[in-house]
Formats: sequence, structure tokens, C-alpha cells
Amino acid sequence: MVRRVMEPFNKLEGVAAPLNMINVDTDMIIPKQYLKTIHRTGLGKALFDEMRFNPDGSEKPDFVLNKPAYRKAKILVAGDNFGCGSSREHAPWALLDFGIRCVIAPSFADIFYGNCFKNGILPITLPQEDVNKLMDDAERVPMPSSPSIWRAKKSAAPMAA
Amino acid sequence: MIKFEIDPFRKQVLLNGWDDIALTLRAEDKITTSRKASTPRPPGCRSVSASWSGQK
Repeated sequence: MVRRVMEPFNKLEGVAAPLNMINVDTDMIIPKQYLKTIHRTGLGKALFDEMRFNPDGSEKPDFVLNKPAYRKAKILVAGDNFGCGSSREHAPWALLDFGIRCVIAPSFADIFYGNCFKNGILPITLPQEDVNKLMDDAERVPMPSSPSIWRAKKSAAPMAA
Repeated sequence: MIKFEIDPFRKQVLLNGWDDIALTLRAEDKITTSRKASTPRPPGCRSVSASWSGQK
């Protein structure tokens, strides 16, 4: 069996999608009916299933990740208590498979927060005012031509957004 | 620019792309050495193979 190797996280450059909601729970991130798999890949198409798709499978055009500018978002900016609810590791698997490698929020649910690091996703906790500012930026500057840049240095220096 | 800091260990995990298995494998030498070492068995503790041969 070939072991999937996690990609080192040194720098992330990409579109940030604003998801201006508090208490985004893991069943919103990946609904229960998709939890039968033990594979870490393939869940991206079911990410935010109920918010992203109608019951007939068509897309809901108003949902942020369905808008053309955010379809390839690598960063998610969200509200308080992101990742609450049941402690399913499928939640970070789905985010990662969709292509999101960084979530920024004022606070996270503990287990989700830990699961992110185990799967190569960077969760960033920031004061509400900073998140508001980034949310605003994400809403206003969606185009890939002006991406947010995230750097991480091997040194002890703080990471910067 | 907005600065942020995360737990130093978790930061290393991300920077190096280590998952839980990779973290364990980093200690593979020590694990192998330990398993090869002939540590005395505690009294009353038989190995699995010994009890199997005893039942034959």
C-alpha cells in the first residue's frame, strides 16, 4: 500500500473565499451520508453539500464556492467556532480535497483544529477585527490576479498573512 | 500585514508535511533497536508464540 505523503506547507498563494457564518459545523462541511468512506480523497465534490447543491444535484449559484471567482479558492475566511459538531476527520479531508489548505476564523472547535494539522491544513485563529478585515478583502478582491499571500518561514519568526 | 503564531510543534509538522505515521517513522531506528533488544520478560508473561506451541 502506498502511503499518501503530506505536502509540506511553506507558502500558500491563492484566492480567499468569504464564508461569513458562525458555527459552521462538520455536518455542513461534509454531511453524514458521505462518512462511509475511509478514503481521504474524493470528498471535495461533497464539501458543503447542502449549501452548495440543490436536492436535484444542480449548483446553488449564490453559494460562495459556486461563484466563478471562488471556485478554486485555497483559503476560507469564516466566523466564530468553525468546525464544531461531530468530530469527523472527513471534514478536513473534504476541505483538502476541494483544494482549501487554510481556514481563518476567530475561533475553532478543538478537535477540528487538531485534525487540520494532521492533514496539512493551516487553521489560523485571529481576533475578530482582523477576520472582519480579511472577510472584507475576500469579498472585495476575489480575482486570482490579486491573491492573498501566506508565507511561513523555517525560522522561529512568526508566520504572516 | 497580519501576523499570527501557532504552536511550534504543529508549525514544524506543517512545514515538513508530517502526518501521524510520518512522525512515528521518524523514530524508526529507535523502535527497531528497542524491538531487537532482548529485554527480560516480566515473570508470568509468556510470548504469544510460546502459548501457541504449548497448545499443540
